[in-house]
Amino acid sequence: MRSYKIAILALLCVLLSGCTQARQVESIAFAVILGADLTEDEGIELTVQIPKVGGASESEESSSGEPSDYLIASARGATFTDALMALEITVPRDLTLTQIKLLVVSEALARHEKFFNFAESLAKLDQSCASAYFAVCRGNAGEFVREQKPVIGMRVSLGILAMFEHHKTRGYIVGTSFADFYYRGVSVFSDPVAILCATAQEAPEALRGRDALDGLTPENVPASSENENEYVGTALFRDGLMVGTLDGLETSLLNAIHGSTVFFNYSLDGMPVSLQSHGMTDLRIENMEDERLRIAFDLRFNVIADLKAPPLESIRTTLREDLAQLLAKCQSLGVEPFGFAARAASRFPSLAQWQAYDWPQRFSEAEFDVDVQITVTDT
Amino acid sequence: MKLQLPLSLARPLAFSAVTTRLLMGIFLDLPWLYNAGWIAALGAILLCVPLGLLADRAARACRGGGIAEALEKRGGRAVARPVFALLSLVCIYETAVTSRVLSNTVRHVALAEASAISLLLPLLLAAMLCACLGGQAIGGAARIWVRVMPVLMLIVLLLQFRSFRPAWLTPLLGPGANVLASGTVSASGWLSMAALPWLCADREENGAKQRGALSTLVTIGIFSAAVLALLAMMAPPSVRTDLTRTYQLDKLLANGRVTQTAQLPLILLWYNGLLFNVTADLFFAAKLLQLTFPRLDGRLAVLLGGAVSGAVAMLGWAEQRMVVSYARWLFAVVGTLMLALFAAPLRKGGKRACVHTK
Repeated sequence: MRSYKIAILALLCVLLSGCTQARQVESIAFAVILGADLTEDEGIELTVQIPKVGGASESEESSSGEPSDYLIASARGATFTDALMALEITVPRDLTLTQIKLLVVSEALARHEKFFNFAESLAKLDQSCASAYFAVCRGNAGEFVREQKPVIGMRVSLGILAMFEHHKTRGYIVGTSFADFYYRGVSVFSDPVAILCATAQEAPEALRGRDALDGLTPENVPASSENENEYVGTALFRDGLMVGTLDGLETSLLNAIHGSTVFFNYSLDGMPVSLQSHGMTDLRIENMEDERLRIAFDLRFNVIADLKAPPLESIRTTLREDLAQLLAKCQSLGVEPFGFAARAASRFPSLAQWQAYDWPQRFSEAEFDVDVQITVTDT
Repeated sequence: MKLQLPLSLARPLAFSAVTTRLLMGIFLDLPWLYNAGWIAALGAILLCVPLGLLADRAARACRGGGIAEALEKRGGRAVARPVFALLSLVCIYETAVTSRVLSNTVRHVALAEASAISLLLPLLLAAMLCACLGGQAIGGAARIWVRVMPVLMLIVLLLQFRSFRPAWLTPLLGPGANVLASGTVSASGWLSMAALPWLCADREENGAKQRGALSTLVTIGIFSAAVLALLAMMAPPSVRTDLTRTYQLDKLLANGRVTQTAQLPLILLWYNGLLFNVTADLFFAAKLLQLTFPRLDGRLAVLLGGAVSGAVAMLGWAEQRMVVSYARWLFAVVGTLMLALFAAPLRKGGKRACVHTK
């Protein structure tokens, strides 16, 4: 009996061994960035950046002429699936997308009717890469992927995470993962947003708006360095298509409404002011007598007195004006990226009744009552 | 060999096995309940209360030995044995359903193309070996698992804490009252399987006071509802897309917001729960088969149950579309069968019904 049990156990060891079909790291190509462009014939071009295990090779050089630690591969197809298949042919290992840290699509693709199918294919991919940051690129996404280098640090994969943490804290980008984007896109609540980015080889000569973030978009960042890829602003989507953008300041205010704690610089008649958002309170969404919607909320900020006591009333007035402009811009574009919809939906018993309410239309006609509360931090 | 399950282990075994089945059923097989799946789990508790009360009463009335045998003696062989046989078939089908989901999700998570037989065979062999070791072994493992599970759940909660949005639980009735009611009936079918351990258990002589079937049913329902509510708070309802099992599984295990290393506690919870479910269902199928044919050896019963389950799973008779259709009737079937079994002796003779004759 004992030998019978031992034989069964030995047989099970063979059958249950998970290593029989193991794949070694050497046989896998882990992509860390995936870019997608719309081709001239309305197909999809995918570009991936894959780290070379073992480091730089003398035979392969980057555009700057130095040995590159990364393999860049591109492939085209009529659809995302076709392009991915072609990519799997050209990459000489098992291409794996589960370690992707950044997904970039060109603005042309994001505004094209093919975009929603592309996003669906990506979301339903066997190899889930939904935790990657999701960005829309002004210009060519393939070029953007090629330009994304680990300018600080050793590895682009960890460098991307560190970079986005840095940008998110300063408020001028939204920290959207592809999962956040897609889940919102297929829900019936607020509209999805993405990070806006561009490759800017030269700094613009003329300065733009009245402060550091006002009017700032990734292609006109007044700075130059070895890093040519910039991330500033937000891409707005409605019904599966990109419909507009927000600049750095508008994105900071959007983050403040979302409740993220962000630090950003604000300018008041030439006087720099350091602001920290503390979220939104007292959100009220109600129907007025004329059936229009009234959305009221308080936005809380903390201002740091750097050089001299900040004029609170002026800051409050200016912030309210900027917020009103942001809300009006989104209303005119027909997008609601603020997260108000989920709150408004709580008054309805079922999703069908909520959908019949026609939130996008109601939001576009809504009236806002925004109050700004500011506290001061002094040493 | 007689398959036995001590009554003291019925509760951990029911909790380990049925919780995952209920979560799997509501989240993967009924995705159109959207954010209201947790209400279906709570509703299922209400529907299963009479079943829990009857199971408790039958177990209390029995002073020692097998509860099912005692019920058979009082209720009559003509009623009991067909009931055992039909419940055994239900358990065999449940084994097939869970093992099919387990093998499919293993293939998905491992990103490996493998044949169904190479995924199902080791799984069923392992389950059969465990079932052959008896209820003491499976129940003992379940008792350990119910102590490990909360720790893993806590890690998952902490990892996902920033993703939770209570507003996504609304609109409260999700797809509407009718769809929710239909989902509740299906969920009741899966939850009613938690009463089976009390039917298949053996009451220990002078055993300590045991937690009953009703409290276990309620605990499983509340726990599952809490988990489903947390899942609903992690993402808004995906109304505008096809909700495939794969999509739902990705949402369940990764939610798109955590790295692969952070998914490990969730993956452990999911697969261990499924393994308990497959093993427990197979054990109950074999036990019920043995109750139907008392001279049948326990090991042969396990082998028969495993072989039929494997065949059903491999032939594709346990895929989502069929499971959803069958789930609508599961509560009615299990409820009626158990009602016939538990109620007959109680109606005839109260507490004396289950006293074993020597």
